[in-house]
Amino acid sequence: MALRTEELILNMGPQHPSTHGVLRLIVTLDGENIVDAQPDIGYLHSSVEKMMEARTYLQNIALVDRGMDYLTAMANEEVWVLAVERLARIEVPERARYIRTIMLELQRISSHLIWWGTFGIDLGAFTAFLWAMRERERIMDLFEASTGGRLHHVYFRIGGVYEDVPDGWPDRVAEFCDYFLQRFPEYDELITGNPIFQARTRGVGVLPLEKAVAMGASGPVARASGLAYDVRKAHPYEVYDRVQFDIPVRSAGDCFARYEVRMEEMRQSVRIIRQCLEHLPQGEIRSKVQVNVKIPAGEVYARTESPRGDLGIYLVSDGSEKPYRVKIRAPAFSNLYALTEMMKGWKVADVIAILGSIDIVLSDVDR
Amino acid sequence: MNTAAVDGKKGRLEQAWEAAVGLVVGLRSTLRTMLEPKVTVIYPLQKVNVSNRWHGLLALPIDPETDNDKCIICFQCERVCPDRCIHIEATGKGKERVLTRFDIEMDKCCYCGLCVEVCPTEAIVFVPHYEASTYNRANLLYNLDDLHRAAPKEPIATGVVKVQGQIGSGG
Amino acid sequence: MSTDPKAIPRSTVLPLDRALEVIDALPGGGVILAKVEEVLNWGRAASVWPLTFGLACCAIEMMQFMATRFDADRVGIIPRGTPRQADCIIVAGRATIKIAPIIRRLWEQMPEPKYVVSMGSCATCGGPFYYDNYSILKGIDQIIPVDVYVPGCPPRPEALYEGFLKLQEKIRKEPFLRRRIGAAAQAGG
Repeated sequence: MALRTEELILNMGPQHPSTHGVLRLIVTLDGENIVDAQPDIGYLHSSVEKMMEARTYLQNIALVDRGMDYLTAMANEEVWVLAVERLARIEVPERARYIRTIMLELQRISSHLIWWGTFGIDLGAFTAFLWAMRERERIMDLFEASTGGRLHHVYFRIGGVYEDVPDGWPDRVAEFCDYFLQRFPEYDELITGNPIFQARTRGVGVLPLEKAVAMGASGPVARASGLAYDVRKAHPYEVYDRVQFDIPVRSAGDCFARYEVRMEEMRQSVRIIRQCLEHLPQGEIRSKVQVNVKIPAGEVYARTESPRGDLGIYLVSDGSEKPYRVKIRAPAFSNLYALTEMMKGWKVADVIAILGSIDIVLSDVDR
Repeated sequence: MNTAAVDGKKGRLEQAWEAAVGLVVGLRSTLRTMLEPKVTVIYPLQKVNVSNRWHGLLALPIDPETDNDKCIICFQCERVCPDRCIHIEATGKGKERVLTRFDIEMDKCCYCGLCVEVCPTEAIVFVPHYEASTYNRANLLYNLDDLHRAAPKEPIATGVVKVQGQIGSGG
Repeated sequence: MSTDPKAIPRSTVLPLDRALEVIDALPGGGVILAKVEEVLNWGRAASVWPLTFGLACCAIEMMQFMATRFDADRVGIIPRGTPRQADCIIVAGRATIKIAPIIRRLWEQMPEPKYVVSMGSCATCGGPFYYDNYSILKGIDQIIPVDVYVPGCPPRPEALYEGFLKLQEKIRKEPFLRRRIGAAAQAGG
């Protein structure tokens, strides 16, 4: 007599210590093997795109850095400000561009640190979380000294940045870069080389290159599968065309490849920051733009490389002081879609490793 | 660091050796961190120096020369606030205007600093207070007197009041 | 009293309430109860175990609060993953209408005595997402009773710390034994 088996539907509910935010995963299991994993999103939908239509371009800077991906507030401000500046053909002074690039790379490091810490703690390495937060506090002190906010900055303006960095700030950033690079061998010792960590992430959750491209994955998720595409190299903005840096690409497509790509990206970010500090020019930091500026009618698509992937804003303006329509292309949304492919065939204990390795932020997915 | 994958083809002795090495390396890392100086701030006995640009609570500080705040009732802050949490009312016309109501809903405020940026006389500023928690939500509506006082409306928790030292890192 | 289960009158009065009545009636009984409460409240306030319900940006500051620099474990705060083991819920971040029934269910699953800390502008009143918004709940006190509001966007970890100190003050002053005395008399125990 054949043994009758049934598939079990497991609900990893919106409140879960390891889902990064309020994500609900409906996992269909056959024993311990995952047959299907459907994400149920919308638990953090904040109607940001609709709210942006009721606020002026300046007020939207305050909304865009908390309503979208909150771990990289200035990357969101950057893509918004870039879209408006391109549509209105507003020039940005050189010093402001260098400062913006430094801020963006510091945000990249701090976002990858949170990813590293939470990935570690999901897999059981509590120390990774504490160390990441310790490093992150230093970056937040740097942000607080110049922008006034630890997590939400409202620092970029249309035409530049709000105010110049205080005296001594570039030296503090250089000091931080030296301190941070010293820490990498420790991270490798403790986490990267750990046999348990390797066993849980090597070969797990493979995303083949064709699937990555077909599902619109971008950022480290796509680069770990072999797609050598980075918006900073393909469509350079700010001063990325003037600094030397490499983009790490791996071909394995598993969790460990995504891990390696992000660790390498942090090193490259330090390299970019050091070059920007070296060539930081003196001068203006803001072009004169009215408070309630009226942007000429038209449409524009601006894209940047946020730590999650390819972040874009499609802006339609009707000539008034408020945008007519804003559409946000969120990288975590497409990366989460790629999750459904990555999970099939693995065991239920790998769900957390795979979910942690794609680095989603639910605020970016749901907006 | 040895990063070879566990592929099951190694002998027992080699796996045991790798595990022992991994243990020693991890413990060495732990001991090294244990002997480093601590970064924990023993709040509330020690406090971190907030930077002078920190977006704390909003205030309309009193100017000692005129014994009043510097607000010229231009309504710019009310207009620029993205959360519409500033409410200003004034009577009179022209230069004789008198402020009758200046409320800021601190529970709606997102501390973005746009009002501080557009104020032409720097009347509204950030003050470095951040301990404003309360039992009652109505205490987060700051009226003109609270803004003049430039401090949280509700008394700070008693554990915080005796502060021994500051730790510098911001600003 | 007969031993037929249907015949025993149902009462919500516990033997504890009867004991409290007796102690209260003694001369100086009120003082004894107050001292006992002081000791028990000291224990309860020094080990508040929150259920971390981190929704959005405030969750990051809450994580910084529990991490290296502002160690929350010093005051006895250990984050728990399930509401059944928690005695406080920190709602950190904006609550949408879609997640409101879940917050209510989590709160109901927590055992008494329970407390609620509303962290950040969005959990307090909707915050920056108050106007022109169709999906955010304008304050979680519409669905659960809140004990401490911590304003800020996001509040610094020290501000959340001060909020917890205020919660501890509230717990220390709570007459949770003495307020049961009236209940026993009312139920006719």
